Amino acid sequence: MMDKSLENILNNCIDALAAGESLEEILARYPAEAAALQPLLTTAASLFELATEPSAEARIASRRAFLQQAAIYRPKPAFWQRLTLIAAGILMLLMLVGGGLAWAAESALPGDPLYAIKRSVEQIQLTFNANNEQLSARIEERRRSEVTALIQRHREVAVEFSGKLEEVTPQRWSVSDIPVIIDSTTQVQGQPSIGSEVVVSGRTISAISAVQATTIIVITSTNDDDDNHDTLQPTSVTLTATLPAEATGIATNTPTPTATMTPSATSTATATITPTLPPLRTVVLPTMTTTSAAPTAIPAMTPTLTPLRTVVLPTVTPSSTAVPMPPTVTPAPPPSPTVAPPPSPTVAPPPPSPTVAPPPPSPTVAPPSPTSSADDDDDDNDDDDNNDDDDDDDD
Amino acid sequence: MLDDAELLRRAYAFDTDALAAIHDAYYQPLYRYISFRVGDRHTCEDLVSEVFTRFLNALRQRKAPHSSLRGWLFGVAANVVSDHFRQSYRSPHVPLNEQIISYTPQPSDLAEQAAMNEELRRAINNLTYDQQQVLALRFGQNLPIQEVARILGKTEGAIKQLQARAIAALARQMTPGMVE
Repeated sequence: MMDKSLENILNNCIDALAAGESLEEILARYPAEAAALQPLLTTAASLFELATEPSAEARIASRRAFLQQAAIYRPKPAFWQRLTLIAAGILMLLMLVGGGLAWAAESALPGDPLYAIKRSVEQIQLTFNANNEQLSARIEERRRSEVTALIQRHREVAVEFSGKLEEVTPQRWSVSDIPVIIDSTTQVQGQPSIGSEVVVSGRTISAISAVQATTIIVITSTNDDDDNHDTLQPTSVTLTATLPAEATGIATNTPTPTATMTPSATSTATATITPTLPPLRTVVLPTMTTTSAAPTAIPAMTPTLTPLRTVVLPTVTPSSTAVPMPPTVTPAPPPSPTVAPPPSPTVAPPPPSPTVAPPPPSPTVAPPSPTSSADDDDDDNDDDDNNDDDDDDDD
Repeated sequence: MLDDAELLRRAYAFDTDALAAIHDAYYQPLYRYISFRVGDRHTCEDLVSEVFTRFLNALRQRKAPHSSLRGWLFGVAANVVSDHFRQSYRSPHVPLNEQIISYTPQPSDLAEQAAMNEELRRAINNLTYDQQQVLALRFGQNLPIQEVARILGKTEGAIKQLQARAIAALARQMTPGMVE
């Protein structure tokens, strides 16, 4: 056995060899032990040469095989995978349901539960297809076919549609082939003539298989003027204030003639709140005495609908003693606010109602002076002055 | 040497980058370790791959280390080598001297060197396990004593003693006239 001192020397010499010193140099330092050290250090020197370097090819091949094998062994994250699958499944289901609802709603008629969805889908279409004449025309056509369908099925629902006035008889008009019954309660705005484009609001009556019109607004006559107020309303003012309709279209308050208000009387202004469907267009009715706020208070209904006019139903509040009515009724936003938006993520919520701010009735509309008759005031003035001298009516 | 627990944690998840880093760090040292013990190049390559395969399996079975990867890998390498020798001893194989002769013709000193190396390796196989490990790390890797001590989990003094005695035993074997 090697003694301890030789062992130490040997280890030191091995360190020296490892550091790069030559055998001769090292042995020269230990002359006494050189003989014993020599075979040991020779062996040690050989040991340093024993290991070899791997080739680059071998290293690369080994790496590739190693990682390939690791990829096979890699466990699939079961939890997250399952979660992703579930989420994808729910998403697909929602899309299907939403899509299905939209599809099913296509044939919905006013009064049907899905009708609101149908209208919402249309709004979305309009939003994404602004200024699309064809789309607007198609939607108007759809309103008319809805009315026809309702008449055929003897359903009584509040409706609104636009069309071309084709025939005028004392009590019965024909608007794009749809029979429209007129009576003394019907409010007509504008100068209707054959060929005019009109907007009809009313209700389908099964007994007469026609639409009982409460309001007819002439959009175009021979010349299409945009926001003139010369097409004014005579004295007979049947006012129906329309408010946002409920989705079911069940008119809780029908625009019955009882809502009639004779402006000349200027007394009770009863605005009947009729839930109606959102009008296709926003039509500005000349306001009797409304303030400047009125026309301006009606923002566009939707960003896409190009309103021919903005409707402000005349607010007639009699005297100051009169009960404040909800006179000004702006075109209500689509009934969607009252209807839960379709559950499909693909159907965007209906146009935001915040864009349509129904003007607060009272503040913006000043009670007209007791003398308010059918004034033709299209400039902004408050009620303050008596416009008796301004008394042109046109009918 | 990469040894951090984070690398191993990711390796347990079979993170490709972590595993690639481990391979890149340890392939060459493991190859050198194995080639210290085994002369044939192709055999060395196979045995190194075997070390990495055992590493992957250990990861799968959650038996791989969570730290001190280097020591663990060298331990696996030692097992792989001893398994190889056990097998080659069991199975019929060409006698070693004939193996040497079957080498492609080389300059005589190289052939001589190769012959001596084979002899040396055979002699190393006769050492104790600990002595073999010390020699492989100290001379195959040229690691300093304290590194060897750390990897093998021994004191420096123990490593020094093992080294000296291993050299002495080898020298005795290599001395002409002394046969294993």
